[in-house]
Amino acid sequence: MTESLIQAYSNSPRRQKLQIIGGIFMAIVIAAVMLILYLVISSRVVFMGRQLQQAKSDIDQLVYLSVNYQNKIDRLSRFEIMEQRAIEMGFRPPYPGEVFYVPVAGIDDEQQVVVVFQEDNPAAVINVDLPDYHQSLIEWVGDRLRVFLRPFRGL
Amino acid sequence: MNEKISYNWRYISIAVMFTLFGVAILAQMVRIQLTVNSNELPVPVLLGQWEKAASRRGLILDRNGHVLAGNQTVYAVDVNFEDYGRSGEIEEVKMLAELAIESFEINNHYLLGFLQQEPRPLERNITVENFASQADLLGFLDRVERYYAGLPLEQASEEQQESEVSMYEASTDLVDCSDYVRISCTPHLIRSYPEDKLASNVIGFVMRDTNEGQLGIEEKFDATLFGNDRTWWAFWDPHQADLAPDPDHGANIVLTIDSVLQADVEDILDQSIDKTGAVAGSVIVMDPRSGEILAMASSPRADINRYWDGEYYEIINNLENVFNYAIKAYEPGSVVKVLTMAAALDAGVVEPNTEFIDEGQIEIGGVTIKNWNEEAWGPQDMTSCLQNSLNVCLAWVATELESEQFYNYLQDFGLGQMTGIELSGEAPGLVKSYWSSDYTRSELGTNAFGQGIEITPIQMVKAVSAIANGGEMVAPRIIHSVIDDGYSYTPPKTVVGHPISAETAETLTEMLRQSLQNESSLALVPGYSLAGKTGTAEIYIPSLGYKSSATNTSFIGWGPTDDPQFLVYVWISKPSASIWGSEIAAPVFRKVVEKVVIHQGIPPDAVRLALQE
Repeated sequence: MTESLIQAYSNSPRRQKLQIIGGIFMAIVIAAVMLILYLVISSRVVFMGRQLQQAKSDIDQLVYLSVNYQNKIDRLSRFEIMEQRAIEMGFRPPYPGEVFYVPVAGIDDEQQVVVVFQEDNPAAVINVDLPDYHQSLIEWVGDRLRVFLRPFRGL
Repeated sequence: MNEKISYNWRYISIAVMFTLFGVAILAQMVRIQLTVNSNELPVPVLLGQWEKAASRRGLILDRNGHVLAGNQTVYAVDVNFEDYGRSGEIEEVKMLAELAIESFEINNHYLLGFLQQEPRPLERNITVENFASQADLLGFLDRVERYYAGLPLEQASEEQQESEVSMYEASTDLVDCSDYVRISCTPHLIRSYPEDKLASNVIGFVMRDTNEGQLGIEEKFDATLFGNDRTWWAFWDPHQADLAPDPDHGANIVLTIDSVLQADVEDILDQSIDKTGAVAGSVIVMDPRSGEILAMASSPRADINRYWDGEYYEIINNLENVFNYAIKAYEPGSVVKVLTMAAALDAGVVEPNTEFIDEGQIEIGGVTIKNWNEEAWGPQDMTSCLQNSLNVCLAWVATELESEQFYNYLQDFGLGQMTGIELSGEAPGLVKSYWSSDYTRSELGTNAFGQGIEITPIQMVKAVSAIANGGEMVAPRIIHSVIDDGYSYTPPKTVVGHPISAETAETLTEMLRQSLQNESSLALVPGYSLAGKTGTAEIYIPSLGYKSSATNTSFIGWGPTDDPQFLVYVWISKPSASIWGSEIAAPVFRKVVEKVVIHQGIPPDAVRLALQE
């Protein structure tokens, strides 16, 4: 009796229509969610890509700028300019007879070449290792789920 | 009823709109399929532009880290002459063209013709200047702004103009042209030489258009300095942003040159050339223990920032195609007597006190060889033969050695062979083989005092390093180290042979020390024991033969003789004040040594020996 009532209830034309409509809506909602997810991921990738392009451009600009500063320093410390400054300050080159040599204990008088130049910071080299940039959709959903479920797991 | 009709009309309208929209989309799809060539359509993922990343050419530094060759940011300036259909456009582009011509001093005939063409062609981006400096570009933009604002284009006074130029030159910020509708500027890097002419003959230069190194270090190490070409297709598609290559700057090169000493030596050389009326010259200062070149001066020099300028272009592209005289081959004259005597002493055919009766001439292979003053000098020992620079005596010494032994020694000393110094354009020189068909025995006599052979100053420095350095011959080198990606490579000292024994080297050094002292040479520096030898060589002129009024004067010397720390070679070509090496090259040697001992911290012998005790 109960079974026949349930069957009659579920097979009623109105219920059947509702099921179909509900199914369609469910499919639309799932498709929309998937679409939104796809758009979110794809926009994030585009955003990261744009950031990367901007970073590369910024690096180029910084190189141009640093070269400008380096060139300015090089020009200001030219031999001719430094010599002129020294002369203005009252210095002049010494002659061999004017030099006094004083032995200092512990100081090696051997002329050692010291290369004072230091290589620039190699930070200008970009290492493309942004996890978000290479993450697949499934990995991203998994990540988000783990974050979402963390409080429920008591972590 | 009426209300229902009204509703139907609205439904029908919406349906018609959607239908039309759909039909339009379908029609467009059909049209594209039927009429447009798919190959001509842009592929979105492939869209992009050619970009040149800021790849920096490696620096060239002296041994103390002072920059001799760096980089500079310049701009490629494009002006858009496109027709936008606005009124007054013709006048606008005409004025922009005129301002560009004045600001960048355009003298390229093709570009000038285009910019001054009437009627004005309204074309898209035209590059009006490819290497605009910061100051020139700012000046141009300032004038463009004045034009658009209706202000007078010229400044009120020269002082104001000068202050603006110095302000532009002081500016280091990058110039942004994005506010200008018709002007765009793209920064890029070019070579810059802050010291202008200093060591220009050693460094060489970089061609602006091709970005290729020419001459000297720039050519020899072009690939090392350049790094990788970073011109690449930059995709606009952000999904492909990571395909852009990483910046790859060129390696930096540290030279063994001391730029302060180099400047002093260049000054001394220039003054000597001016004073003596010579046409060219070269001075090399080397540490004979390591082979490191401390200074390599050559004259004339050029401002390599402006290598294309007429005056400098002629210096670089001279008839003999020689920019660095330190690596050019020439007949050196009597400085070769040092090597002849070294060979004879080492072979044991003579000793310092071997007596030779100088009769003023000697015949070898049918040719009569005479002394420089064409006189007979009577009894001489080997030291006085060197001291008086007697051709007859040294020719006799060579005959005592005989051809095979003499030329084997010259070969061991590396004469007529490239030294391998890291400079582009080194000449090999010419020393004939004694078994070659065009060799005559008379050449044994003339070669013994440095005529009839061609060698370079750097070869001579290498050969004499064996005498200064106790028999050990070192390869001269001008590269101290190469630095790339934080890693440094320093080439080691290279011993390239032991052409003579340590005893021979010591004996000959003492003979040359004595001969300098005895003749009260102009090369002597008080307080320092020096060994050395002058050289005077007649220059062969094809139509006139050897003409004694045109000579190459040279001097080679080293010191302190008991602990050699410097070896100096001087060559002054075609002086008019005197033809003798003892009067022209020897004083240059002295002046150079006076600088070297101070720069290298070499005390006078008495002080040095006292300190050693």
